[in-house]
Amino acid sequence: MSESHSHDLPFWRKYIFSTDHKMIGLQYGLTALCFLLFGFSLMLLMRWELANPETAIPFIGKFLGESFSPMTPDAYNELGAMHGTIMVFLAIVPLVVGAFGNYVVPLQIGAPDMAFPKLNMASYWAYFVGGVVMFASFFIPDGAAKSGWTSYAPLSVLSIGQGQTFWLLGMVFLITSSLLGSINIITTIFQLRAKGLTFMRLPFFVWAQLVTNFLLLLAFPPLEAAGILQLMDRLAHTSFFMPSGLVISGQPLEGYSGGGSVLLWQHLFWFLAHPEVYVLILPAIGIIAEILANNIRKPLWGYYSMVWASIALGFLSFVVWAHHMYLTGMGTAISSFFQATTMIISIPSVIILTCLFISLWGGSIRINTPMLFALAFLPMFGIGGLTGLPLGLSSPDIHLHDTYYVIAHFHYIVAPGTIFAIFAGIYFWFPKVTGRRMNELLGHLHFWPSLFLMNCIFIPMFTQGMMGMSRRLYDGGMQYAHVQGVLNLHGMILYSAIGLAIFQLPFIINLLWSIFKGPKVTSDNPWDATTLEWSTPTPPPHGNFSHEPIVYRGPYEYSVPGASKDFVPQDQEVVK
Amino acid sequence: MRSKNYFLTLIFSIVLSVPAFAATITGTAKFDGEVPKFKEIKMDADLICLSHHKEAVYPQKLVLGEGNTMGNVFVRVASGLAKKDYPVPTQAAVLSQVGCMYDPHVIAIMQGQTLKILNPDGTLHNVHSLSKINPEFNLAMPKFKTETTKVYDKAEFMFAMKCDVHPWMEAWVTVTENPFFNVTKADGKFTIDNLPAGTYDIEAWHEKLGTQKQTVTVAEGETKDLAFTFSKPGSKK
Amino acid sequence: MDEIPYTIKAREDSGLYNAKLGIWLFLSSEVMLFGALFSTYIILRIGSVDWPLGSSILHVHLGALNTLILISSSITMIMAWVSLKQKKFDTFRLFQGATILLTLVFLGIKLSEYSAKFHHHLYPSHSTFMAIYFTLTGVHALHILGGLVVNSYNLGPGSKMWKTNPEQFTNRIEISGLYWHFVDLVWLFLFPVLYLT
Repeated sequence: MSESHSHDLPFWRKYIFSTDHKMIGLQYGLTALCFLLFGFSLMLLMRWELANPETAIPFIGKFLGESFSPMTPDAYNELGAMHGTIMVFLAIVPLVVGAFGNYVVPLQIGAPDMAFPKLNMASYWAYFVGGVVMFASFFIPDGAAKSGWTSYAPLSVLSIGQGQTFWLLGMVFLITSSLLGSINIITTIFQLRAKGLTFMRLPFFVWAQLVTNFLLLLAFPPLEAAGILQLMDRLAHTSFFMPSGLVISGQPLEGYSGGGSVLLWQHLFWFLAHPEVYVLILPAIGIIAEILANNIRKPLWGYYSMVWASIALGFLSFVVWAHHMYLTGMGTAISSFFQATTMIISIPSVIILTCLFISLWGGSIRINTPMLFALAFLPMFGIGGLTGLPLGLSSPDIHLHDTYYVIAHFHYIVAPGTIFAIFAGIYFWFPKVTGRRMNELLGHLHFWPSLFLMNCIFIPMFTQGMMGMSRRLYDGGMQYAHVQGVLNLHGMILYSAIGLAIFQLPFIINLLWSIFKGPKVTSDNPWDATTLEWSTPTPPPHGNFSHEPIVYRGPYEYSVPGASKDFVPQDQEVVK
Repeated sequence: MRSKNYFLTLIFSIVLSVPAFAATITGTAKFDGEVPKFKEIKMDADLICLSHHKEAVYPQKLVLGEGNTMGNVFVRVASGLAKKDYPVPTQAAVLSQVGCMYDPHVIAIMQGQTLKILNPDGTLHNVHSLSKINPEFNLAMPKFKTETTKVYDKAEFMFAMKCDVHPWMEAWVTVTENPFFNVTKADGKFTIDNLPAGTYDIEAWHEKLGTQKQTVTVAEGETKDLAFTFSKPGSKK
Repeated sequence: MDEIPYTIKAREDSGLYNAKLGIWLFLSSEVMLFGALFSTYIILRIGSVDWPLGSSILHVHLGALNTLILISSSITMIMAWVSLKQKKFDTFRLFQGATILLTLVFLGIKLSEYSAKFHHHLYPSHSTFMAIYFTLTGVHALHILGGLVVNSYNLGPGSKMWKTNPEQFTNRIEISGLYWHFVDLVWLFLFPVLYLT
């Protein structure tokens, strides 16, 4: 463990306004984990309301203010909109791109830092300000945004109070942050690869990050434009999204010239938000690929096809957005086009998943906590992906659109998918970051109940959705005759969610305890891994590598015949 | 603090209501012409609404008493009053949602006066105030929320209050600067008292039949009686 | 291992130094931003019943003048960079100053156009045409303003770098130039789309 020479920096330069990619990665990680927990607790409140409509929340309800005892529909709408926004833009993306991307990518490509360290700091602080703006909107009169995380116009334009304006301002900061971050990561990957590290020798995680950041770079600006337009609609009373002849509560709307297009917002929004789905999942697959390759002790099966599949995913993700809009009356020609592209985009996803599954075949699998999460990811992501197919076809979508089926589908991808990958990544890279190991027993105690309860939460939602239960109902659909039979599932979901919350405690305890008290690792490469981040000192000092790494081989040379050990690091010149 | 405020307000109200010489304007609003037929309001969409009514419910647009006297006519002193701060009634005005209808249909309150909105129906209502000068609000009132209060700070003439859950529900709200107004009941009678002597424009408003104005001069202690007659536009008087 | 490589010299396989790749990536995202705004223009126009003729509302001559000014400023921007390449710092200052001056003139004309519109009560809320006009030119003007700040910094306090690290300073001018040409290019689309059609 080498002494970092950055120890002479004052505290605020080292820990707060740091330009070191590792510190920024950790800042992203900690902030985003807090938001993850916060977004999760918003969901618990919503779940209570759905299972016990119009009943005061026990114990905590009275601390949350009048609108939570019992919860009013407006408060529920706020929670719904902000749960989505926080989870997507403030928790998952900053975790997989901001935290893992920042920390791991330069290490894996043998770079001393990101290409633009100051820009990197700026993107973290833009993210932080965006987060503060979003969080603050809960405390303004009339509360936070309540028009759904999709902010469909004209509902969002006309929503009362300043919550929606705060939401838009927050989004502008978050988009700026993502934009700066993506420029940084792409430049880093193109420019700062170590000698000998050709593109086809890049670890799959780096590839996933490269594609992801291109998506962020090109898909976010249209949402920024849409955000500007909606801000204009709200503040300057323009009519970008306001059609002519709008009647609100039986009264013609005044003060708007009309002539705008409601669908324009949806097009601009989903043009971002569909690539955003791949932003959420690709880095997760990248993390899983690293952990899988390390623990099956053999090369990933079909590395090339995985790389090309992820590039294909990147391109195709820009031409599928309108499958979110089958019910808007776009016309059958457009629907057919988007059905076709949606079916096509499932092919590369299936290629990646198949490669990962086949990789398991014949491996001598090591079971540890990161590997458990990685193994669980595969079928969970599979369920999430396959249940998406009916939604991608316009005729079944007529029935399933805006029901709990949709919620279950994308949560299967993001919750037991991406979030499991995030846990796996934390358990996996923790020894590199801190020089200590996390506790395996607590890891098991975290994993098994989480896996079980995740399924208890989301499988019932498929049933509810297929029965036609709409999402976004504050009372869970109590008033509708056709969902009476599945109302009681809300109870099961609630108790599973509470259970899930409880079984995150082992993780939190494990994380905090291991930072200070975990058993120290004895080697810089505790998992016997091949990629470059494991040949740095532990934890990596400022500048990362003690000597310039040179890469001689591909990323996953495990169990090479003739080698004395079952792994050959990328920077090892000869197999011996 | 609070009791002191009450005390002061009490003194003020006594001082203001005592003058024996204050003038009074009374009157009646009547409807002239053929009484139009209204369509029955269908409440089948919400069984709870339906259960509150045994008989057919009709819109409250035209409420007539015996001899075609008109209810829901809002009468106010439109001009002639001195500009000053009039004391705000401490008692809250009440707008209730009974049987999925607003009660009263036309309500006038003073700026700063508390408006109590009730929901005794046991169903979800949604109070959407389409005010333009005062901030708009759109408040859901689930069955557990039986009461809420709102205060309008600025004077605003006649805006709609709608329920977005039950589209037939509609009330008209006026926020006034002074206490000199009245809304007729079915007997068509209105009284505006405690007026200082002077010449005033008295305005009577109905949501469909328009506004009428009469000028009247009252001396101290005098009571004058006015009559307003509304008819359908286009039909002969 | 502490230095970040390729901050000044180009990397062989990509042929770019870091910041140059960075600015190209940034510009690609800007293309998407303005692309979305122009798409909005197209969709609003297609969906409208009577779209006004831009020249009947906007001042074509002023727009044309601004086009000329921006093109000239792009030329002076290139000349500023060329002067640095030729190691002529004083000529650089001249051209960089000219660029800034032209920018200020552009913004002045833009401002006078805005105030004339406001004077005639043509606010963004007046119609979707006015809305997209103000939004597009407003976002563009913000970009101009950003360029102005960067260029002024490079002429003023930033130019000290010429003494310590002339190569990096030349790169900076090249990059801010690339950005400036992009902003110029956006205007070249804006002008015909809004003023002439």
